[in-house]
Amino acid sequence: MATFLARRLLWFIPVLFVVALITFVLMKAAPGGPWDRDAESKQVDPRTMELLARKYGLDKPAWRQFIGYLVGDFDDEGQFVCGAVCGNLGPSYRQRGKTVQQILFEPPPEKGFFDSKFGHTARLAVLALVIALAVGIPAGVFSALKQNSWLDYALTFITNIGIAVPSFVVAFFSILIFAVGLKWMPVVQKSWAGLTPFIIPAIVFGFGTMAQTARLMRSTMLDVMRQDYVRTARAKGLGEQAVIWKHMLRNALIPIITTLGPAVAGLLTGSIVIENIFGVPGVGRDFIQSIGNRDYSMIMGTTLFYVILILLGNLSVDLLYGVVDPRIRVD
Amino acid sequence: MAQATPSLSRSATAAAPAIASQSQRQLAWRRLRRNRAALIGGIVVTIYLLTALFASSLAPHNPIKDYGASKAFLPPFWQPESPAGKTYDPTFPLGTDQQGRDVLSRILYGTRTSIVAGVLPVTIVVLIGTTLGFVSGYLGGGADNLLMRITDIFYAVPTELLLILVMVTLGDTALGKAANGVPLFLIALSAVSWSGLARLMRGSALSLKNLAFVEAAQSLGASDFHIISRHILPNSVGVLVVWIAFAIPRFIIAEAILGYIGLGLRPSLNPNDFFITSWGRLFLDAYSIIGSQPGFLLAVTAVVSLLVISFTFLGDGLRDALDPRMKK
Repeated sequence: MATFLARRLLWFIPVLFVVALITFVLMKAAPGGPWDRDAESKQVDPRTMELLARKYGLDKPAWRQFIGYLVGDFDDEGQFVCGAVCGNLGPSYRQRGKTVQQILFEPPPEKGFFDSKFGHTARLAVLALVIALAVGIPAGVFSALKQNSWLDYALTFITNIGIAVPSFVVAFFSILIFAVGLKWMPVVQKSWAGLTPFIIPAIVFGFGTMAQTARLMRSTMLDVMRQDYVRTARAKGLGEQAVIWKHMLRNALIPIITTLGPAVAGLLTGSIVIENIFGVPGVGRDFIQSIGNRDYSMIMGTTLFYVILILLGNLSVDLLYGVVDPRIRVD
Repeated sequence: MAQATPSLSRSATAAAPAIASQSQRQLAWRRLRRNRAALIGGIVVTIYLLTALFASSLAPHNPIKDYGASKAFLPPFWQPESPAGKTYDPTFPLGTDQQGRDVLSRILYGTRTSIVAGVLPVTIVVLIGTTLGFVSGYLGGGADNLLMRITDIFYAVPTELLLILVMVTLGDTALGKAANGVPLFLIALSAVSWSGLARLMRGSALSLKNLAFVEAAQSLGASDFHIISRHILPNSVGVLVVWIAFAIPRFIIAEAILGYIGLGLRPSLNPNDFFITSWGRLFLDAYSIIGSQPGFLLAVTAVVSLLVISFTFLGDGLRDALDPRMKK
């Protein structure tokens, strides 16, 4: 177990290094710097540019900037400033005086952590996952228990649609239905306090995961229902409810956990687009804005942050899998 | 003995019609035709392909000509009056946008671009992914190890994120500006998508290379190239076809997402260009005028959803038909 964990954590290092390298090389290949988007239309005079470049260490050779970003470098006074390994994602080029980690995690004054950029993203993703599982699992179970009934056909049809149509498209449909048609919400939400404004975006966002969960749940339930141990449970006179809850459901839930890893990863990165469509003030919307502003340190920092989240998500699901199913040993 | 053989073969041919042998391909085709959802999906996809091909003849108007403020914000046919107070004009069946451009014509031209944006990168990815996957799976060794490590890294990095990064950093270079950004889009999408297919094809090559017919070919002295192209490839076609059916809509959506963010193909102002507009661009334009012209967004969303659903039904049908063991 310990060796498994250590090996998986060590594997993070090359992955993050390669991602950082790719991001860094791409940013260097982009024409224009963070202060002038077009090489042709200089917006900042050369003298200021030189000072800015020195301030952010952009006058140093590229390899040193890269190492400095990842590990750390000495500043003008000879003081060592730790880099990304210490969680320091560097100063934002556009939002002066703020570091990338401050922009991502620091809530506005007198607000809690869940009002920070990441707090909004987390609220959306967690709510989406909870709704997806809370609806998807029972839907799959009912489909399987009432196999070939009209309920099963209806649920399977919705499931197929949910798997086929990406959340990007579902989001536009939902805005047309709930904002333009029914007027349950404004097209652009003004307040994101509490959970209520997140409900419709979260349903849209979790729709694909919901459909996949329902489909998998249905097929594993159908499989489990025909197992010998279920027949044994019935043969010894156990009530139908106990058979369903204790024998079928517990075993059928195991495969769902394997799909959680990709689902969480999809929810985290999918939020880039969903946040943008619904105007959720989270990490994803900020990412798109920093792309428009060519705020390179922000782009790089957010990318690394996303990849760490996904790596941790996949790892925790692997660990969880070993806990839930004793037949699988992680070592 | 010499006389017995012809009579034997004659009796064999006489019995043959009663058994009516069928090739694997015929069996698969029969299974596909019996699947109604897949059949409808296939028909819809074909209609879209034809629309893309003949977009310039089908479009009632020039998609980039603006008919001025008096013709702007016209409602689509299901709405007698638009929120902006304009009444329906039958020469613009799906209405017009804020500049008075015909929505139907824009969607038709966008279909062409988006279909190309889905099909072309798939072709490139198939070439790269199958070659690398087969070579590493069949030959193994150091190259195989390297490929697996690379795909492991790509597995941790979401393709959407990488795609956005490539498009934003290289979008303003000479490469990004060439031919409405189509070459950059193709390169970026292929670069971030090949590893998944390579992994799939590697698995297929690995499972096939230990089978008796490959061993037989090896013992007859067949070259590695011959075995890969004549034995591994034909036996992997089923998996490949299903992958393609699911990859095309994924790539079309990738273009739409990039376009919506403002990083996609560059809209053209030259009516003779092949790429005039794309679905991504239409999502961006339609969403920006949702308050005064919701019919535009509804039309674009419906057109895109229908194609994506059809591809999925077709893909599901192909999977069931080509590999009956996989059937749900």
